[in-house]
Amino acid sequence: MKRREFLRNLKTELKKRRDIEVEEVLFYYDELIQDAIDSGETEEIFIANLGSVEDILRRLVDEEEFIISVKKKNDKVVREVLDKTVKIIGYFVYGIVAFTLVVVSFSVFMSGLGVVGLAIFRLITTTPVDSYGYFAILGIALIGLSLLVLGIAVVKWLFNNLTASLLVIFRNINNFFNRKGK
Amino acid sequence: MGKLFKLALALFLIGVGVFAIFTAISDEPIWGSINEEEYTYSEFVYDADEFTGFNFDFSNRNFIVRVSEDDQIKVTYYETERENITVTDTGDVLRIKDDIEWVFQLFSGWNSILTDDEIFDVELYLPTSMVYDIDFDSSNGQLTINNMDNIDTLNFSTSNGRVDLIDCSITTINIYTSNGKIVLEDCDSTSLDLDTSNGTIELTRVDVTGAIIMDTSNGRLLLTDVSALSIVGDSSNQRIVAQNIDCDDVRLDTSNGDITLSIYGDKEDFEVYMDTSNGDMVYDGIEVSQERFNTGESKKIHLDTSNGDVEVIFIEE
Repeated sequence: MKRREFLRNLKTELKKRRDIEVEEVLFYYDELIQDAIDSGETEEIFIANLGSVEDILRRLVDEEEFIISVKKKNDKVVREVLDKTVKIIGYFVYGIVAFTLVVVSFSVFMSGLGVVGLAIFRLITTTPVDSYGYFAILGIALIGLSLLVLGIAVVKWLFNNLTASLLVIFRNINNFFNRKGK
Repeated sequence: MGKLFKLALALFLIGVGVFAIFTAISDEPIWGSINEEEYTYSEFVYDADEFTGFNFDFSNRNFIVRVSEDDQIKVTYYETERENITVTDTGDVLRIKDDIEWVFQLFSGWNSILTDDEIFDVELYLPTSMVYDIDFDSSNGQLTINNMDNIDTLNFSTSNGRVDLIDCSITTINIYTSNGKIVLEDCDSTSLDLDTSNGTIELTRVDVTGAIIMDTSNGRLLLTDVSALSIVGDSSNQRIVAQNIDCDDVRLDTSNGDITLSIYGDKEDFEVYMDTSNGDMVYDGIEVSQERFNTGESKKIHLDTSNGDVEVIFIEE
Protein backbone atom coordinates (compact mmCIF):
# COMPACT_ATOMS: atom_id res chain seq x y z
CA MET A 1 0.00 0.00 0.00
CA LYS A 2 1.31 3.44 -0.90
CA ARG A 3 1.52 6.27 1.60
CA ARG A 4 -1.36 8.30 0.15
CA GLU A 5 -3.69 5.33 0.14
CA PHE A 6 -2.68 4.37 3.67
CA LEU A 7 -3.23 7.90 4.99
CA ARG A 8 -6.54 8.19 3.16
CA ASN A 9 -7.80 4.94 4.69
CA LEU A 10 -6.53 5.97 8.10
CA LYS A 11 -8.25 9.34 7.83
CA THR A 12 -11.54 7.73 6.82
CA GLU A 13 -11.46 5.43 9.84
CA LEU A 14 -10.28 8.11 12.24
CA LYS A 15 -13.09 10.43 11.26
CA LYS A 16 -15.58 7.88 12.50
CA ARG A 17 -14.18 8.33 16.01
CA ARG A 18 -14.90 11.60 17.72
CA ASP A 19 -12.47 10.95 20.56
CA ILE A 20 -9.39 10.87 18.33
CA GLU A 21 -7.62 13.93 17.07
CA VAL A 22 -7.37 13.07 13.39
CA GLU A 23 -4.74 15.53 12.26
CA GLU A 24 -2.36 14.66 15.12
CA VAL A 25 -2.43 11.00 14.12
CA LEU A 26 -2.15 11.66 10.39
CA PHE A 27 0.79 14.01 10.92
CA TYR A 28 2.50 11.41 13.13
CA TYR A 29 2.19 8.58 10.62
CA ASP A 30 3.05 10.80 7.67
CA GLU A 31 6.25 11.85 9.39
CA LEU A 32 6.98 8.26 10.41
CA ILE A 33 6.71 7.09 6.81
CA GLN A 34 8.79 10.00 5.54
CA ASP A 35 11.54 9.21 8.07
CA ALA A 36 11.55 5.60 6.90
CA ILE A 37 11.80 6.62 3.25
CA ASP A 38 14.58 9.07 4.06
CA SER A 39 16.54 6.30 5.80
CA GLY A 40 16.28 4.07 2.74
CA GLU A 41 13.38 1.80 3.61
CA THR A 42 10.80 0.78 1.03
CA GLU A 43 7.53 2.68 1.42
CA GLU A 44 5.19 -0.28 0.86
CA ILE A 45 7.10 -2.64 3.19
CA PHE A 46 7.29 -0.08 5.97
CA ILE A 47 3.57 0.64 5.72
CA ALA A 48 2.80 -3.07 5.77
CA ASN A 49 4.84 -3.38 8.97
CA LEU A 50 2.83 -0.61 10.62
CA GLY A 51 -0.12 -2.98 10.82
CA SER A 52 -3.64 -2.56 9.56
CA VAL A 53 -5.63 0.63 9.98
CA GLU A 54 -7.88 -1.29 12.38
CA ASP A 55 -4.85 -2.22 14.50
CA ILE A 56 -3.77 1.37 14.69
CA LEU A 57 -7.27 2.47 15.68
CA ARG A 58 -7.43 -0.19 18.37
CA ARG A 59 -4.09 0.94 19.72
CA LEU A 60 -5.18 4.55 19.76
CA VAL A 61 -8.31 3.70 21.71
CA ASP A 62 -6.79 1.15 24.08
CA GLU A 63 -3.43 2.72 24.84
CA GLU A 64 -3.83 6.13 26.36
CA GLU A 65 -0.10 6.63 26.39
CA PHE A 66 0.16 6.02 22.67
CA ILE A 67 -1.79 9.16 21.75
CA ILE A 68 0.28 11.13 24.28
CA SER A 69 3.47 9.90 22.65
CA VAL A 70 2.01 10.79 19.23
CA LYS A 71 1.40 14.36 20.36
CA LYS A 72 4.84 14.59 21.99
CA LYS A 73 6.48 13.36 18.81
CA ASN A 74 4.50 15.83 16.72
CA ASP A 75 5.54 18.69 18.99
CA LYS A 76 9.15 17.61 18.70
CA VAL A 77 8.93 17.31 14.92
CA VAL A 78 7.40 20.76 14.60
CA ARG A 79 9.93 22.22 17.03
CA GLU A 80 13.13 20.51 15.94
CA VAL A 81 12.83 18.43 12.79
CA LEU A 82 10.54 20.35 10.49
CA ASP A 83 12.37 22.43 7.96
CA LYS A 84 12.50 26.14 8.79
CA THR A 85 11.14 27.09 5.38
CA VAL A 86 8.16 24.78 5.87
CA LYS A 87 7.50 26.31 9.27
CA ILE A 88 7.76 29.88 8.01
CA ILE A 89 5.46 29.22 5.06
CA GLY A 90 3.11 27.24 7.31
CA TYR A 91 2.79 29.97 9.90
CA PHE A 92 2.45 32.56 7.14
CA VAL A 93 -0.36 30.64 5.42
CA TYR A 94 -2.06 30.02 8.75
CA GLY A 95 -1.69 33.70 9.65
CA ILE A 96 -3.36 34.82 6.43
CA VAL A 97 -6.19 32.30 6.73
CA ALA A 98 -6.72 33.06 10.42
CA PHE A 99 -6.60 36.81 9.86
CA THR A 100 -9.09 36.59 7.00
CA LEU A 101 -11.45 34.40 9.02
CA VAL A 102 -11.23 36.68 12.05
CA VAL A 103 -11.93 39.76 9.94
CA VAL A 104 -14.85 38.09 8.15
CA SER A 105 -16.32 36.69 11.36
CA PHE A 106 -15.93 40.07 13.05
CA SER A 107 -17.80 41.69 10.15
CA VAL A 108 -20.52 39.04 10.34
CA PHE A 109 -20.72 39.49 14.11
CA MET A 110 -21.00 43.27 13.82
CA SER A 111 -23.57 42.98 11.03
CA GLY A 112 -25.61 40.68 13.26
CA LEU A 113 -25.26 43.09 16.15
CA GLY A 114 -26.37 45.92 13.87
CA VAL A 115 -29.41 44.04 12.61
CA VAL A 116 -30.47 43.06 16.13
CA GLY A 117 -29.90 46.65 17.27
CA LEU A 118 -31.97 48.02 14.42
CA ALA A 119 -34.81 45.63 15.12
CA ILE A 120 -34.85 46.62 18.79
CA PHE A 121 -34.55 50.29 17.93
CA ARG A 122 -37.38 50.01 15.47
CA LEU A 123 -39.60 48.45 18.12
CA ILE A 124 -38.73 51.17 20.60
CA THR A 125 -39.22 54.12 18.26
CA THR A 126 -42.22 53.03 16.20
CA THR A 127 -45.25 50.93 16.93
CA PRO A 128 -45.95 48.36 14.22
CA VAL A 129 -49.28 48.85 12.46
CA ASP A 130 -50.48 45.39 13.48
CA SER A 131 -49.42 42.53 15.75
CA TYR A 132 -47.97 40.60 12.80
CA GLY A 133 -45.50 43.45 12.41
CA TYR A 134 -43.94 42.53 15.77
CA PHE A 135 -43.25 39.04 14.51
CA ALA A 136 -41.83 40.32 11.24
CA ILE A 137 -39.39 42.46 13.22
CA LEU A 138 -38.70 39.49 15.49
CA GLY A 139 -37.77 37.56 12.34
CA ILE A 140 -35.23 40.25 11.46
CA ALA A 141 -33.86 40.10 15.00
CA LEU A 142 -33.45 36.33 14.74
CA ILE A 143 -31.57 36.67 11.44
CA GLY A 144 -29.31 39.21 13.12
CA LEU A 145 -28.85 36.90 16.09
CA SER A 146 -27.89 34.05 13.75
CA LEU A 147 -25.18 36.22 12.18
CA LEU A 148 -23.97 37.14 15.63
CA VAL A 149 -23.69 33.49 16.68
CA LEU A 150 -22.05 32.57 13.35
CA GLY A 151 -19.34 35.18 13.92
CA ILE A 152 -18.61 33.72 17.38
CA ALA A 153 -18.73 30.15 16.04
CA VAL A 154 -16.10 30.81 13.38
CA VAL A 155 -13.67 32.39 15.87
CA LYS A 156 -14.26 29.62 18.41
CA TRP A 157 -13.68 26.98 15.73
CA LEU A 158 -10.51 28.72 14.66
CA PHE A 159 -9.01 28.69 18.15
CA ASN A 160 -10.19 25.16 18.96
CA ASN A 161 -8.54 23.81 15.83
CA LEU A 162 -5.36 25.83 16.01
CA THR A 163 -2.97 22.86 16.35
CA ALA A 164 -4.86 20.64 13.94
CA SER A 165 -4.97 23.38 11.29
CA LEU A 166 -1.27 24.04 11.65
CA LEU A 167 -0.50 20.33 11.32
CA VAL A 168 -2.61 20.08 8.15
CA ILE A 169 -0.77 23.05 6.65
CA PHE A 170 2.67 21.74 7.70
CA ARG A 171 1.90 18.26 6.38
CA ASN A 172 0.74 19.57 3.01
CA ILE A 173 3.67 21.94 2.60
CA ASN A 174 6.09 19.22 3.65
CA ASN A 175 4.60 16.77 1.16
CA PHE A 176 4.74 19.41 -1.54
CA PHE A 177 8.45 19.99 -0.92
CA ASN A 178 9.11 16.26 -0.75
CA ARG A 179 7.42 15.75 -4.11
CA LYS A 180 9.38 18.63 -5.62
CA GLY A 181 12.57 17.19 -4.10
CA LYS A 182 11.97 13.89 -5.84
CA MET B 1 -20.62 20.66 12.58
CA GLY B 2 -20.15 22.46 15.90
CA LYS B 3 -23.05 23.27 18.18
CA LEU B 4 -22.70 27.00 17.57
CA PHE B 5 -22.82 26.53 13.80
CA LYS B 6 -25.98 24.45 14.18
CA LEU B 7 -27.48 27.07 16.46
CA ALA B 8 -26.65 29.84 13.96
CA LEU B 9 -28.20 27.87 11.12
CA ALA B 10 -31.33 27.12 13.15
CA LEU B 11 -31.75 30.78 14.17
CA PHE B 12 -31.23 31.89 10.59
CA LEU B 13 -33.79 29.48 9.17
CA ILE B 14 -36.36 30.30 11.86
CA GLY B 15 -35.68 34.02 11.40
CA VAL B 16 -36.10 33.86 7.62
CA GLY B 17 -39.25 31.79 8.00
CA VAL B 18 -40.83 34.06 10.61
CA PHE B 19 -39.83 37.16 8.67
CA ALA B 20 -41.15 35.85 5.34
CA ILE B 21 -44.49 34.69 6.76
CA PHE B 22 -45.27 37.73 8.88
CA THR B 23 -44.03 40.24 6.33
CA ALA B 24 -46.43 38.69 3.86
CA ILE B 25 -49.45 38.95 6.16
CA SER B 26 -48.57 42.18 7.95
CA ASP B 27 -49.22 45.69 6.69
CA GLU B 28 -46.08 46.90 8.42
CA PRO B 29 -43.76 48.57 5.88
CA ILE B 30 -40.64 46.62 6.71
CA TRP B 31 -38.44 47.85 3.87
CA GLY B 32 -39.27 51.45 4.42
CA SER B 33 -39.95 53.20 7.65
CA ILE B 34 -42.55 55.34 6.01
CA ASN B 35 -45.83 53.90 4.90
CA GLU B 36 -47.05 55.02 1.52
CA GLU B 37 -50.46 55.84 2.93
CA GLU B 38 -48.98 58.42 5.27
CA TYR B 39 -47.86 60.65 2.42
CA THR B 40 -49.76 63.82 1.74
CA TYR B 41 -49.53 65.89 -1.40
CA SER B 42 -48.08 69.41 -1.18
CA GLU B 43 -48.17 72.03 -3.87
CA PHE B 44 -46.86 75.58 -3.98
CA VAL B 45 -47.57 78.04 -6.76
CA TYR B 46 -45.74 81.33 -7.35
CA ASP B 47 -45.58 83.99 -10.02
CA ALA B 48 -42.96 83.52 -12.71
CA ASP B 49 -40.82 86.43 -11.50
CA GLU B 50 -41.06 85.71 -7.78
CA PHE B 51 -37.80 83.73 -7.75
CA THR B 52 -34.67 83.58 -9.82
CA GLY B 53 -33.27 80.46 -8.26
CA PHE B 54 -34.22 77.20 -6.56
CA ASN B 55 -32.28 75.48 -3.85
CA PHE B 56 -33.77 72.10 -2.92
CA ASP B 57 -32.21 69.63 -0.54
CA PHE B 58 -34.12 66.38 -0.19
CA SER B 59 -33.04 62.95 1.01
CA ASN B 60 -33.92 60.07 -1.22
CA ARG B 61 -36.07 62.01 -3.66
CA ASN B 62 -36.01 62.30 -7.43
CA PHE B 63 -36.10 65.74 -9.00
CA ILE B 64 -38.04 66.40 -12.18
CA VAL B 65 -38.01 69.80 -13.86
CA ARG B 66 -40.80 70.46 -16.33
CA VAL B 67 -42.07 73.34 -18.42
CA SER B 68 -44.92 75.19 -16.78
CA GLU B 69 -47.98 75.49 -18.97
CA ASP B 70 -49.61 78.38 -17.09
CA ASP B 71 -46.57 80.67 -16.74
CA GLN B 72 -46.39 80.06 -13.02
CA ILE B 73 -43.78 78.39 -10.88
CA LYS B 74 -45.13 75.25 -9.29
CA VAL B 75 -43.46 72.91 -6.85
CA THR B 76 -45.05 69.61 -5.91
CA TYR B 77 -43.97 66.82 -3.60
CA TYR B 78 -45.33 64.40 -1.04
CA GLU B 79 -44.51 64.62 2.63
CA THR B 80 -45.11 62.72 5.82
CA GLU B 81 -45.47 63.70 9.45
CA ARG B 82 -42.11 62.12 10.09
CA GLU B 83 -40.36 64.57 7.82
CA ASN B 84 -39.70 68.19 8.56
CA ILE B 85 -39.80 70.05 5.28
CA THR B 86 -38.84 73.69 5.55
CA VAL B 87 -39.94 76.03 2.77
CA THR B 88 -38.25 79.42 2.67
CA ASP B 89 -39.95 81.51 0.03
CA THR B 90 -38.59 84.92 0.94
CA GLY B 91 -35.85 86.41 -1.20
CA ASP B 92 -34.88 85.58 -4.74
CA VAL B 93 -34.21 81.93 -4.10
CA LEU B 94 -36.86 79.42 -3.15
CA ARG B 95 -35.31 77.09 -0.61
CA ILE B 96 -36.82 73.79 0.38
CA LYS B 97 -35.06 71.50 2.78
CA ASP B 98 -36.14 68.09 3.88
CA ASP B 99 -34.98 67.12 7.38
CA ILE B 100 -35.76 63.55 8.14
CA GLU B 101 -34.50 61.82 11.25
CA TRP B 102 -31.91 59.21 10.45
CA VAL B 103 -33.96 56.44 12.02
CA PHE B 104 -36.68 56.95 9.44
CA GLN B 105 -34.17 56.74 6.66
CA LEU B 106 -33.20 53.16 7.50
CA PHE B 107 -33.95 51.07 4.43
CA SER B 108 -36.04 53.90 2.98
CA GLY B 109 -33.25 55.06 0.67
CA TRP B 110 -34.07 52.09 -1.50
CA ASN B 111 -37.58 53.39 -2.07
CA SER B 112 -36.57 56.06 -4.53
CA ILE B 113 -34.23 53.69 -6.33
CA LEU B 114 -36.43 50.62 -6.48
CA THR B 115 -39.77 52.20 -7.20
CA ASP B 116 -41.08 54.57 -9.83
CA ASP B 117 -43.69 55.81 -7.43
CA GLU B 118 -44.42 59.51 -7.78
CA ILE B 119 -44.45 59.96 -4.00
CA PHE B 120 -40.68 60.06 -4.14
CA ASP B 121 -40.62 62.74 -6.82
CA VAL B 122 -40.14 66.45 -6.31
CA GLU B 123 -41.46 68.26 -9.38
CA LEU B 124 -40.59 71.79 -10.34
CA TYR B 125 -42.57 73.48 -13.11
CA LEU B 126 -40.80 76.48 -14.60
CA PRO B 127 -42.28 79.15 -16.86
CA THR B 128 -40.37 79.82 -20.07
CA SER B 129 -40.61 83.59 -19.67
CA MET B 130 -37.78 83.83 -17.12
CA VAL B 131 -34.28 82.45 -16.65
CA TYR B 132 -33.58 80.52 -13.44
CA ASP B 133 -30.73 78.94 -11.47
CA ILE B 134 -31.11 75.48 -10.04
CA ASP B 135 -29.19 74.01 -7.13
CA PHE B 136 -30.44 70.58 -6.09
CA ASP B 137 -29.10 68.09 -3.62
CA SER B 138 -30.31 64.54 -3.06
CA SER B 139 -28.90 61.45 -1.36
CA ASN B 140 -30.23 58.76 -3.61
CA GLY B 141 -32.43 60.55 -6.06
CA GLN B 142 -32.31 61.13 -9.77
CA LEU B 143 -32.55 64.31 -11.79
CA THR B 144 -34.54 64.55 -15.00
CA ILE B 145 -34.86 67.69 -17.09
CA ASN B 146 -36.56 67.70 -20.49
CA ASN B 147 -37.06 70.48 -23.03
CA MET B 148 -35.80 73.38 -20.91
CA ASP B 149 -33.93 76.32 -22.39
CA ASN B 150 -34.20 78.89 -19.62
CA ILE B 151 -31.86 77.57 -16.96
CA ASP B 152 -28.74 79.60 -16.38
CA THR B 153 -26.81 77.53 -13.84
CA LEU B 154 -27.56 73.95 -12.93
CA ASN B 155 -25.84 72.44 -9.89
CA PHE B 156 -26.87 68.96 -8.93
CA SER B 157 -25.38 66.58 -6.44
CA THR B 158 -26.53 63.07 -5.55
CA SER B 159 -24.97 59.89 -4.28
CA ASN B 160 -26.75 57.19 -6.18
CA GLY B 161 -28.95 58.85 -8.71
CA ARG B 162 -28.95 58.96 -12.47
CA VAL B 163 -29.02 62.27 -14.31
CA ASP B 164 -30.87 62.79 -17.59
CA LEU B 165 -30.81 66.10 -19.42
CA ILE B 166 -32.68 65.82 -22.70
CA ASP B 167 -33.13 68.62 -25.21
CA CYS B 168 -31.95 71.37 -22.87
CA SER B 169 -30.13 74.64 -23.19
CA ILE B 170 -28.38 75.43 -19.93
CA THR B 171 -25.60 77.97 -19.57
CA THR B 172 -23.55 76.24 -16.89
CA ILE B 173 -23.92 72.63 -15.87
CA ASN B 174 -22.20 71.13 -12.81
CA ILE B 175 -23.23 67.61 -11.91
CA TYR B 176 -21.83 65.30 -9.30
CA THR B 177 -23.05 61.78 -8.62
CA SER B 178 -21.20 58.91 -6.98
CA ASN B 179 -22.88 55.93 -8.53
CA GLY B 180 -25.18 57.27 -11.16
CA LYS B 181 -25.05 57.49 -14.92
CA ILE B 182 -25.01 60.94 -16.50
CA VAL B 183 -26.81 61.27 -19.83
CA LEU B 184 -27.01 64.45 -21.92
CA GLU B 185 -28.82 64.39 -25.25
CA ASP B 186 -29.47 67.28 -27.64
CA CYS B 187 -28.17 69.85 -25.18
CA ASP B 188 -26.16 73.03 -25.47
CA SER B 189 -24.24 74.92 -22.85
CA THR B 190 -21.26 77.16 -22.29
CA SER B 191 -19.64 75.04 -19.62
CA LEU B 192 -20.02 71.43 -18.60
CA ASP B 193 -18.53 69.82 -15.51
CA LEU B 194 -19.60 66.22 -14.94
CA ASP B 195 -18.28 64.03 -12.18
CA THR B 196 -19.27 60.49 -11.26
CA SER B 197 -17.35 57.79 -9.46
CA ASN B 198 -18.94 54.67 -10.81
CA GLY B 199 -21.27 55.76 -13.55
CA THR B 200 -21.02 56.12 -17.29
CA ILE B 201 -21.04 59.59 -18.82
CA GLU B 202 -22.87 59.67 -22.14
CA LEU B 203 -23.10 62.80 -24.30
CA THR B 204 -25.00 62.73 -27.58
CA ARG B 205 -25.44 65.77 -29.84
CA VAL B 206 -24.10 68.21 -27.27
CA ASP B 207 -22.75 71.66 -28.15
CA VAL B 208 -20.66 73.52 -25.61
CA THR B 209 -19.07 76.86 -26.38
CA GLY B 210 -16.61 76.50 -23.51
CA ALA B 211 -15.03 73.52 -21.82
CA ILE B 212 -16.33 70.05 -21.15
CA ILE B 213 -14.78 68.43 -18.10
CA MET B 214 -15.70 64.83 -17.35
CA ASP B 215 -14.41 62.62 -14.60
CA THR B 216 -15.37 59.06 -13.76
CA SER B 217 -13.46 56.34 -11.98
CA ASN B 218 -15.23 53.20 -13.03
CA GLY B 219 -17.55 54.31 -15.78
CA ARG B 220 -17.21 54.70 -19.53
CA LEU B 221 -17.07 58.00 -21.35
CA LEU B 222 -19.19 57.88 -24.50
CA LEU B 223 -19.37 60.98 -26.66
CA THR B 224 -21.15 61.20 -30.00
CA ASP B 225 -21.56 64.33 -32.13
CA VAL B 226 -20.11 66.65 -29.51
CA SER B 227 -18.62 70.06 -30.11
CA ALA B 228 -16.74 72.14 -27.55
CA LEU B 229 -13.90 74.59 -27.14
CA SER B 230 -12.02 72.01 -25.12
CA ILE B 231 -12.74 68.53 -23.84
CA VAL B 232 -11.07 66.90 -20.86
CA GLY B 233 -12.18 63.36 -20.09
CA ASP B 234 -10.79 61.16 -17.38
CA SER B 235 -11.73 57.59 -16.55
CA SER B 236 -9.68 55.25 -14.43
CA ASN B 237 -10.95 51.86 -15.36
CA GLN B 238 -13.07 52.06 -18.46
CA ARG B 239 -12.87 52.79 -22.16
CA ILE B 240 -13.43 56.15 -23.78
CA VAL B 241 -15.23 56.41 -27.09
CA ALA B 242 -15.56 59.87 -28.65
CA GLN B 243 -17.08 59.93 -32.12
CA ASN B 244 -17.65 62.84 -34.49
CA ILE B 245 -16.03 65.37 -32.19
CA ASP B 246 -15.64 68.99 -33.16
CA CYS B 247 -13.03 70.44 -30.85
CA ASP B 248 -9.57 72.02 -31.02
CA ASP B 249 -8.30 70.77 -27.69
CA VAL B 250 -9.07 67.21 -26.64
CA ARG B 251 -7.50 65.47 -23.69
CA LEU B 252 -8.69 61.96 -22.84
CA ASP B 253 -7.10 59.83 -20.15
CA THR B 254 -7.86 56.38 -18.79
CA SER B 255 -5.77 53.79 -17.00
CA ASN B 256 -7.44 50.57 -18.06
CA GLY B 257 -9.35 50.87 -21.28
CA ASP B 258 -9.23 51.69 -24.97
CA ILE B 259 -9.48 55.25 -26.24
CA THR B 260 -11.12 55.89 -29.59
CA LEU B 261 -11.45 59.39 -30.97
CA SER B 262 -12.83 60.47 -34.32
CA ILE B 263 -12.50 64.20 -34.77
CA TYR B 264 -13.35 66.71 -37.47
CA GLY B 265 -10.39 68.42 -39.12
CA ASP B 266 -7.18 67.98 -41.08
CA LYS B 267 -4.69 65.79 -39.28
CA GLU B 268 -1.87 68.19 -40.20
CA ASP B 269 -3.51 70.87 -38.04
CA PHE B 270 -3.43 68.84 -34.85
CA GLU B 271 -0.54 68.27 -32.49
CA VAL B 272 -1.20 64.73 -31.36
CA TYR B 273 0.22 62.90 -28.40
CA MET B 274 -0.72 59.26 -27.91
CA ASP B 275 0.54 56.95 -25.22
CA THR B 276 -0.18 53.41 -24.06
CA SER B 277 1.91 50.93 -22.10
CA ASN B 278 0.07 47.79 -23.11
CA GLY B 279 -1.75 48.23 -26.39
CA ASP B 280 -1.65 49.40 -29.98
CA MET B 281 -1.65 52.96 -31.24
CA VAL B 282 -3.46 53.83 -34.46
CA TYR B 283 -3.01 57.25 -36.07
CA ASP B 284 -5.63 57.91 -38.73
CA GLY B 285 -5.92 54.27 -39.73
CA ILE B 286 -2.22 53.40 -39.54
CA GLU B 287 -0.68 51.52 -36.64
CA VAL B 288 2.21 53.54 -35.28
CA SER B 289 4.80 53.40 -32.54
CA GLN B 290 5.56 57.11 -32.66
CA GLU B 291 3.88 59.03 -29.83
CA ARG B 292 3.99 62.62 -31.10
CA PHE B 293 2.81 64.12 -34.37
CA ASN B 294 2.91 67.68 -35.72
CA THR B 295 4.51 69.21 -32.64
CA GLY B 296 3.80 72.91 -32.33
CA GLU B 297 0.39 72.98 -33.98
CA SER B 298 -2.21 75.03 -32.17
CA LYS B 299 -4.90 72.33 -32.06
CA LYS B 300 -4.17 69.64 -29.52
CA ILE B 301 -5.07 66.02 -29.01
CA HIS B 302 -3.78 64.12 -26.00
CA LEU B 303 -4.78 60.47 -25.58
CA ASP B 304 -3.28 58.47 -22.76
CA THR B 305 -4.02 55.00 -21.44
CA SER B 306 -1.94 52.43 -19.61
CA ASN B 307 -3.68 49.23 -20.62
CA GLY B 308 -5.57 49.58 -23.87
CA ASP B 309 -5.45 50.60 -27.50
CA VAL B 310 -5.42 54.22 -28.59
CA GLU B 311 -6.88 55.32 -31.90
CA VAL B 312 -7.45 58.70 -33.47
CA ILE B 313 -9.28 59.17 -36.79
CA PHE B 314 -9.66 62.47 -38.62
CA ILE B 315 -12.91 63.26 -40.43
CA GLU B 316 -12.97 65.66 -43.34
CA GLU B 317 -15.22 68.64 -42.60
